Amino acid sequence: MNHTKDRAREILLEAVEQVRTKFGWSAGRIKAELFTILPGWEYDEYLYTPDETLGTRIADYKQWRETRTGEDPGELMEEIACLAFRCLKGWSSMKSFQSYGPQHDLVISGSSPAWGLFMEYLHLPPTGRTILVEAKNQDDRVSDSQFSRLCSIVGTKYRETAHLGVFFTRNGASGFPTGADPDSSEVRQRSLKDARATQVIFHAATRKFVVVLEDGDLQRLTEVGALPRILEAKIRDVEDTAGLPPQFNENGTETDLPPHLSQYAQE
Amino acid sequence: MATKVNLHNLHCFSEHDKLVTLNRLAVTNPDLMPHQVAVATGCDLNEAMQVLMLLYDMHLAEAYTLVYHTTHSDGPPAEVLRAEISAGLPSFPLRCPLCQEEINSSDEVTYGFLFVLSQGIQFVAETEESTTWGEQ
Repeated sequence: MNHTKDRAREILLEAVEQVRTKFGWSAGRIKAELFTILPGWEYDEYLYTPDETLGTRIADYKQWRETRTGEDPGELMEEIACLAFRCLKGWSSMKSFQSYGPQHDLVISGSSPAWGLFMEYLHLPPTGRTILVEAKNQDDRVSDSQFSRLCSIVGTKYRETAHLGVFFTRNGASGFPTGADPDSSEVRQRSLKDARATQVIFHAATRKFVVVLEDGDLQRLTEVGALPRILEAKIRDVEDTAGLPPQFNENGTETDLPPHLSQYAQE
Repeated sequence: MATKVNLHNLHCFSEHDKLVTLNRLAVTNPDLMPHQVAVATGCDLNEAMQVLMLLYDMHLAEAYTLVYHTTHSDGPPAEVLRAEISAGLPSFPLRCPLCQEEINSSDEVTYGFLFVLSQGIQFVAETEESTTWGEQ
């Protein structure tokens, strides 16, 4: 029996998810080859297919950004975050509430085999099945104190179950590198400060990640595979601390090389 | 000596008859495709793929992706590529070895999976409470 590309990928990756869940990587061959198998089978595209509603709200966001009228900016950003995670395979719980502690914009959890493999793809421990999301549609960059607040929630209230916090922002966070020309050595940050320093210190202390999506990332959320690809790159960047934001080419690959090396990566 | 593979976590194979059928299939067919397992045992395609990927994970089988040219101009779909499953999706263009046409996208092909068993296997379904042995 033969299958289309999408169906074949689905059959294979669901089997990988189930072997992981039911047999715990029995002998470890798939585990050892996981980061060959997943990109080879375009796992990010299997995981995330943006829907029409998300596309519409991102178009609304672009329009709002030009006119600054007709929308509640905070709610618009929360909707984009909610809709983006809704398009991710495997989640089982999405909440937004205020209890005894601070209010959470979004708390997304999963317990399915698909979600478990997604956590592994993000380099997160298997116990970390919850992702905390904070939406900040403000003119200023997210401040160090705002950034520290999410770090604190991830590190204390969700100490056992969350290893990832995600900011949805328009202008990024303080101290983070901006999306300038990567070939210019002048824009590459060589020091840590503000929220960027907090991100690195928080990770060093807890092994957890808090990452920041900004305007360019939001606009890419209408691409198939974009959200997991962006999250994976942002998480890796916490350890790379490259001094530049992750840059993707049209093939979805990411390079940060000087000219004499980048010629080979483009072949 | 056959290597035991415990399928106790796959609900489908808790039925003794299905386990016996699966064992017979593995003895007579060292090359297995998921739909063969599904048809022979009555499990669904996803469960069949889980069994075969478990064998791959345990180094008891090699796994291949088969790519067929569906718009083949002369006759039924032709196999154009057999690659290790870890190699991922094929890169285009490919050339059909039969009709020599260039294949430029996944729209012109379909995909299948083949698992080649590398040693004798005995499927069992053993839990702490009960033991069900499949005949070989």
